[in-house]
Amino acid sequence: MSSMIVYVPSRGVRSLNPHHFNAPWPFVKVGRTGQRKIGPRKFEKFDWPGQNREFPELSPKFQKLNPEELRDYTGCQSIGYTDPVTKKFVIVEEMKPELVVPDLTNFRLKPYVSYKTDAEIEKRQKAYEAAVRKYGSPEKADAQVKEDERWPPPALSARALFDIFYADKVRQYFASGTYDHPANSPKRRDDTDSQQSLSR
Amino acid sequence: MTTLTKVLLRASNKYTELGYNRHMPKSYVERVTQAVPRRVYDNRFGAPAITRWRLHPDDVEHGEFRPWEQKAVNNTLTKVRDYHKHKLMQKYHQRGLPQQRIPDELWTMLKGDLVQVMIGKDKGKKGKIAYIVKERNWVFVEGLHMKRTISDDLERMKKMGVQQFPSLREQPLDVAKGEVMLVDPKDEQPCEAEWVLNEDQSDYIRVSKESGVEIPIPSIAFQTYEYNDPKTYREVELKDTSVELTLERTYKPSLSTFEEDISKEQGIDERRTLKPTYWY
Repeated sequence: MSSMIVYVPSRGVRSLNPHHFNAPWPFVKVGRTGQRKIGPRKFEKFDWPGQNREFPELSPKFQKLNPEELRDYTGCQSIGYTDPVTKKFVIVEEMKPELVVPDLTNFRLKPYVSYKTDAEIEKRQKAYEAAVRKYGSPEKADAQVKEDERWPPPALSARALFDIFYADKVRQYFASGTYDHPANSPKRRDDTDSQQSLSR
Repeated sequence: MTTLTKVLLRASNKYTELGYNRHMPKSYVERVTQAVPRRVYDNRFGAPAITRWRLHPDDVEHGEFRPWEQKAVNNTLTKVRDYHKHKLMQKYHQRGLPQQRIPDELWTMLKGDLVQVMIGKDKGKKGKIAYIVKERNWVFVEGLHMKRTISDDLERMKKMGVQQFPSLREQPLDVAKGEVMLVDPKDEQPCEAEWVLNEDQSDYIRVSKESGVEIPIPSIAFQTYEYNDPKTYREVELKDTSVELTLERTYKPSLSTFEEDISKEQGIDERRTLKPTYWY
């Protein structure tokens, strides 16, 4: 009965009126019949793009304090400006977005991979497995089989890079006894290409 | 000998990949079976994400039809609707029983194999495998273990005035329950089979457990949606990249960064050298 008292004191006086003891969430009853739900209601649709809530960076969107220019903001770059004198929108040719697409004439690759590739890969894999069995270990087989005939193809290792670009030079310096010479030290940057990269 | 070497020395078991629908992209199959998250509740202070599925992957039920066929799609959508209805009514959705699928390594039945039916009206009869559903351990044998069925849309057909005849349709036979068995080529008796390495260890072959005789793989087992045999596949001129082009190795190692490669290709003269970087 006490909840039916119309007057609720608002002077900071606490009373036992249920008005002061709200549930933390609203009691919601949708319609007279049908779905009733009591508890916090979460509208998932507000999280998703929709008619009036596309741009969370502007939310709340329709506040008066929002700058006028952003009223019809669509997230796209404008291709012109509104002339302050004539109040007309002026299109600037340079502001139009231009898509730069590579020229694919005489490009050899097609959108899909032929199913024959599977057969070829299987063939190579079989051959490589046979070689591994023949020589006893993958390392020994790698020494015998060409790189192009291996499957899976060998990954480029740091060691391979070193062998290609530095090994000869190091061997040469070592043979001539100048390896420790400051001229050959990797700290000098203004030397040849390879030495520049070595210092990196 | 290291484990890696052991793995490399063994022949790869390609037989696990055999199947008519093996080129169907996995993502597509997930999408049509609706085994995709509907919403992921994440960012929970390090706690694992809670996923609300369209249909929980454990609940995906494979049947007589491939998941992308119309009837299977209808079934899936009904199931999804029921699932979410139960969720909203705060009732428990009845989960399906976990399905004990025979692992691919132990699966020996292939399309086109001669098998013997071990149960039912056609018990003891031999026939060829017409269709396989690995997910359910099902095998359908051509012309055997049939059931008289009438088309589902009988009423629609009646409306159209089309006369309906009951048709015979093959029924699934469960491999795990031993309802169907391979036929031994030696004595033509039902047998169990296993995959073993051949003499020169290069490939896996199917061998009867009883007599040890090889059961050859029928050529139809290599058939897929796309080709009858990968070697005879005819490339589509405007769509398929040829084998040589695909497997061509075009990378040449060089001691330059990605940026340096690009500037060299574009003819940009960059004199400055990069500062050394360190990783700790």
